[in-house]
Amino acid sequence: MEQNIIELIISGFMNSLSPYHILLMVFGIAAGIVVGTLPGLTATMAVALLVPVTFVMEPASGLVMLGAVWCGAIYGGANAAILLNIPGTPSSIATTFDGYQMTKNGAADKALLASLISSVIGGIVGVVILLTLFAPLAQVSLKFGKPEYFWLCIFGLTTISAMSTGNVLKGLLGGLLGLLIGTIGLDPVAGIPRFTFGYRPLIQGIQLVPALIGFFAFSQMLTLMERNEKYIAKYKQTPNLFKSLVSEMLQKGRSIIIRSSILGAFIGMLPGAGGPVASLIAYNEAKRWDKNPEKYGKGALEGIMASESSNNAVIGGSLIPMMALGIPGCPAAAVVMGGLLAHGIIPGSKLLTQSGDVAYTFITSLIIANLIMLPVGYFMIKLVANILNVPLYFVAPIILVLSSIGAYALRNSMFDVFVMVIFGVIAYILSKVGIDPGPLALGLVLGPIAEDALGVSLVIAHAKGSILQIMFLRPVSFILIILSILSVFTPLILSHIKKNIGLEVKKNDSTVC
Amino acid sequence: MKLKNKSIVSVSLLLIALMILISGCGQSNTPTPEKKSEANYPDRPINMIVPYDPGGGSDMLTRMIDKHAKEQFGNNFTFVYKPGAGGAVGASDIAKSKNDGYTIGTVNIPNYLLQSISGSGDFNADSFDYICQTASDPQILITPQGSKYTTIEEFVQAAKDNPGKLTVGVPGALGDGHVATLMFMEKAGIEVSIVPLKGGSDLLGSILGKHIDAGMANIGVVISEKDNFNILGVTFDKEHPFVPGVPTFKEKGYDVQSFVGRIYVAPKGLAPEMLQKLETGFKNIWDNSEYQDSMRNAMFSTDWKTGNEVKEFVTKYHAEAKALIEKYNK
Repeated sequence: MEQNIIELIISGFMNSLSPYHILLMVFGIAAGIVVGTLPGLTATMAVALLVPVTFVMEPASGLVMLGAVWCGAIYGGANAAILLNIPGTPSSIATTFDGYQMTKNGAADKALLASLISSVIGGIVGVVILLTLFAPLAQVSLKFGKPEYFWLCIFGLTTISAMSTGNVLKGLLGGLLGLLIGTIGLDPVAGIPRFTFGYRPLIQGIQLVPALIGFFAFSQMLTLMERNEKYIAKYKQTPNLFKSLVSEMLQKGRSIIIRSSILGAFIGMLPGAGGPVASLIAYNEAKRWDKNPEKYGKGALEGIMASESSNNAVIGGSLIPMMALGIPGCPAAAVVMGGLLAHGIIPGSKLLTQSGDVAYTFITSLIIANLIMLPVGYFMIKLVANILNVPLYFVAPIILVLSSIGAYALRNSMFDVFVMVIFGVIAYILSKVGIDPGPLALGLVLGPIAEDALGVSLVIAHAKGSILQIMFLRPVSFILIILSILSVFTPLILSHIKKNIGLEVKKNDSTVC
Repeated sequence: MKLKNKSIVSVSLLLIALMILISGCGQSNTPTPEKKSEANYPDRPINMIVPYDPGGGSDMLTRMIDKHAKEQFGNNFTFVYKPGAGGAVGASDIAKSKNDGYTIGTVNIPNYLLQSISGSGDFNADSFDYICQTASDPQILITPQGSKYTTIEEFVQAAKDNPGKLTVGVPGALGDGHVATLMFMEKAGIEVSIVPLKGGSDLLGSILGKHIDAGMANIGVVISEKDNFNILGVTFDKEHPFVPGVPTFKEKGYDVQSFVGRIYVAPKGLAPEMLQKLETGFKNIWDNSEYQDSMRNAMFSTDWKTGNEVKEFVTKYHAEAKALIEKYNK
């Protein structure tokens, strides 16, 4: 059996290295990066758009292309996050925190390149974990029941306290607002509409992507327009950046990239959590373990490295339960699974015995695709960075139009465009009083997952007659509860200690997220 | 500088206004139907509304039909995706479309019926004309490996001994599995705790991870893992080819018939000739062996019903489900 798997891996590499497949991957990655960069067009959508195209291809070739598009799109989200403060996909929310600050400091190309290198490393780590450990890890993912999801979300929400040092109250306010918005629509347990005020389109709830475009893109453009400057930020290309950056990253952030990638792969394998949760938690952990957490949010390279390596590692992670159990780990994985099924390949425990060759070609191709992403992405960075040389009065309207198209294209629905505009205006006003879109987005991402998990846990607890047993005393839940408590209080304790030894904690100005 | 600022605002407003205008036109631009066009119907592509995401089950099933659509309808379908609210958004769009035969769509029995009962859909069973059903996917009652309950009898006995203590996962609140479980409770006179999960994959994970005592799952979603759980019974009217040897609820004395039916519908009031043409075209595609092969490969079980048969089932199911939901959810 062992021998067999090694043979499959080798033949997988051989297959994915054929010129035709390399060509497909280059195309897939370039297309993915473009879609990922555009606000509103998500990785899931990029993959979904290409699934019908793969119907006419050989199963392996189709999958190779889908995988490449997926990697490219998740990485591409960072471009817009860094240059415009707009997460191109929900997975790159955390990238905006430091990426945009670096752009403002004139280090845009450094940030872009760091996100590319981190994405490539994260992606490869994720796939290697998938390749080597997927059978045992899939069993681990099954141990995660609804109570554990609930506590994972609570742990994720504690990131707010880290995201808004010096301004915790406003951060919490934003987070609560996000949670509140997340409750609009169908009640996940009762299946009955609520908070819709009798307005029918609200039954489907506020969709994450249009709201995010509003929170970030629309409000950001309003902010830029009032700033009365000609360019978003000063930008000058730094020569010979690659070499110096690589050595800087190796020196500063080896452990950050590896830790964030492993976190990303782990959170990726939990169905329903996905890229946004992974990158936010990875960002929080990077900050927590750092000796100088104050630099985060002001243009720390480490913040970008954490966010981008973890969200690309999610790809490998989310394929773990899909390959082993037929349970996709995130929406994009679900679409890929649809593509597999259409070719008569059934993911799950029999995948390796029945279609091992195709499966391993797909998995190994992801490693190759990540390697190809380095030159393709490098070339595209040179192109996209030029947006900083375009005067603002061209950029702003174009971004607004692209955002509207993105919001519309999601479900061919004008309603989503209105959602974008309304939430954009709300976020703009909130930013005036010091409430940033970060916590708002976090509440909206995690709220619905947490609510569903809590509701289901309580149904089970009610049937079994013990809330204590189901909610608090399971080992994984217990660990997550401890971690959450630590996460909430570490910033407070740290600042207390610092005050005591006479160091004044500088209050961040409110624009820093 | 002030002037420049103003021009940015006005340019962006203009562009947005333009976009809204363009997208608005797209919706109102559908040509008016002409009475005499029924004879050569369809003479242009038919819009196919899919109320779910591209790449999902409904999309895949319809794409398989679409592969042969050109032979039957002269053109391929134009796919329009309207996901949202578990399909209610798209179903509502189909119901409100012009009944000129150039907009049809796919919905799933019983989701759209249940949406109309729960209040999340502004349509009902009578908002549509029924073309046909191409595939169906019944539910199976499953328990985790190592569970004490491996037959329907054992399960019913345990539920009678511990009313409300057994947890039964269903793929969604007020969905097909939920109603099938209610039917089972009603007919067997038992009480269990229904756990509404987030879709079939969530249900499969909860069974494999042993987080729930049992699950009412659609065959298609979980069948590939069938060696890793026990199958107690199937909600079909006869033995199902995907789970040979598994008894039906009916033969165990509980008449529970429930399945997800992939049906094609048109907005109410389509000319009968058009409806007939559509049904015949779909039937010809369905009979194509290439289509049947591709369905089998993707683990979909084909199950043909004519428009009239669909309508009959829908009416009966709607009444039964409505009574149950009103009884148990109040």
